[in-house]
Amino acid sequence: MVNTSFETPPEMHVEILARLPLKSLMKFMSVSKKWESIIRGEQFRRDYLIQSMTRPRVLFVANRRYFHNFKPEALFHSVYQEEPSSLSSVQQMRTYETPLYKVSQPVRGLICHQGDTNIVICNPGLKKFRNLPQIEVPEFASMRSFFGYDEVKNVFKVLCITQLVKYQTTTEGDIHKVRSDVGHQVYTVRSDVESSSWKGIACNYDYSAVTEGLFKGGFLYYGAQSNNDQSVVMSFNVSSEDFSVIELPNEVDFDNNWKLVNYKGGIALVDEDNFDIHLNGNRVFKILFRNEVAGNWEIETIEIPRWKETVDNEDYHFKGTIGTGELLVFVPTHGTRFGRRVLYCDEATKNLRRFDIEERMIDEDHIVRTFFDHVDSTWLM
Amino acid sequence: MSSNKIVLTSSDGESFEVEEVVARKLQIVGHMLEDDCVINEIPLQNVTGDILSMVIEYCKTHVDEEESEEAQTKLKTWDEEFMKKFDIKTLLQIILAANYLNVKGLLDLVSQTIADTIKDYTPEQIREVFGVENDYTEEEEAEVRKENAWAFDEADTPKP
Repeated sequence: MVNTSFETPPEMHVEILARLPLKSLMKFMSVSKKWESIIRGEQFRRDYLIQSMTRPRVLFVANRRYFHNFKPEALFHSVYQEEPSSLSSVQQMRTYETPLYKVSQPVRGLICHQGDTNIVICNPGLKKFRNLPQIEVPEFASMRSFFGYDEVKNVFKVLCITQLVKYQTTTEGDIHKVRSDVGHQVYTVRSDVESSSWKGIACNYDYSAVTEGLFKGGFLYYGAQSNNDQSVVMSFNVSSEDFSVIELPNEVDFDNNWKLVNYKGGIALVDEDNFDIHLNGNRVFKILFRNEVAGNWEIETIEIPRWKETVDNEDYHFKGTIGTGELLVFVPTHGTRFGRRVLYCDEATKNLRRFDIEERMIDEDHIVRTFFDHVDSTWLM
Repeated sequence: MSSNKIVLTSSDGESFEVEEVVARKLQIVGHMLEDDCVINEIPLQNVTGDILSMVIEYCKTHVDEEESEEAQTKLKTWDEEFMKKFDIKTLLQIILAANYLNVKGLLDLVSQTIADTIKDYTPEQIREVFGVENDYTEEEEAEVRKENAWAFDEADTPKP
């Protein structure tokens, strides 16, 4: 009954390859030159991304709390977001090469870390890295980097903000911030390493970046403090490299607890430490949701029923919504003992589910960061 | 729904009489029926009888796709059991048929099944099953393998 003499046409190969785990793809590059060129190809990169977006991952990035040597350990662990207990989806990487003090949210399967002034882009599913050239940072200046994707030119970009803050002591002995020099540079990640370099860009606004970044729909957003001490959200168009300022209601005053999150297709601001557990055991908190159409911020109150009976006395941060916006997600505040735990709350049914992700390499010595909607991709292959 | 019958004939001359709603799951047939509504026998040159019978079995089961979660779960279980019957060579023939006859659901299902089956194959096994010629020189192949060395390491699959 089985005819073995036929050959499967190449378009069928792609159909199958797009559904393979990354590890198998790496292995099958040695099948033939044709297969290698398919797998490394741009068309396949798109096909594979579309396929893997149907199975987003939750990614845990952990590093040791205390560094005993110069090459701190970093761990990456990810599982399918929708079925965190599925063992077949586990991807893990341990590395001593990559600095991990600041980690960007994953974009199309890649993450960008910064340690001191080193910036590294990494595809944890492939265990591949790319070190970016050293950036010129003025002495004593601080540095923040943000990671995004230019959907017009189909390239990743890193925005790096260096900031030099000068202080002055008044005659009364108070210390005042008098001037802050902000520099902006962009690195376009091209496949050809030689033609990629840092490029200074102009920004007409005077501000200091305060929060971590959020990449969404071609824009990088981050909370900032304007020069007259107003809290604002900066938006950076990754394609045109233009900045704009989104103003905030007066009551918002950024400090370290404010986070930008994905919320139902838009962006929202959350004050992580500000929520109540009501007597009935429900968690109640407010978020500021950006209404893109009206161009304003709206306060939305979220109430999660049966909070106390599900989580007991642990602290959790709200991390916004995932996927198409039906699930609200929470992660443990103290990312150690419960570091691999996630809470999902269904927007419609208010059903609260808790998942503990089995993982032995990450222990109480680690600081854990949790990212959602991470996907497998073939960039840096 | 019309209970009009249509006869599908395979490349090796086997005939299958199916209801029009089932035949329409094969988009290639659907298009033919739109062009001319008096056809009741359709020859399908690129698919043999044994494979066609399996495609028809899939289409009969999926003929009315209900939205309810219960029905979806039942179909999913049926799909899994259905796929378990086939070895890799047969799966590769079904994928060709699903592509030629344009049955989207089956194409997705069989592609995923093949991917799950071959993911732990060695490159040598892949070449054999897919009929792919190794056009690397020994040095080139060694180089590509070296670049992706961890992917060949079985122990690297984490066991939590």
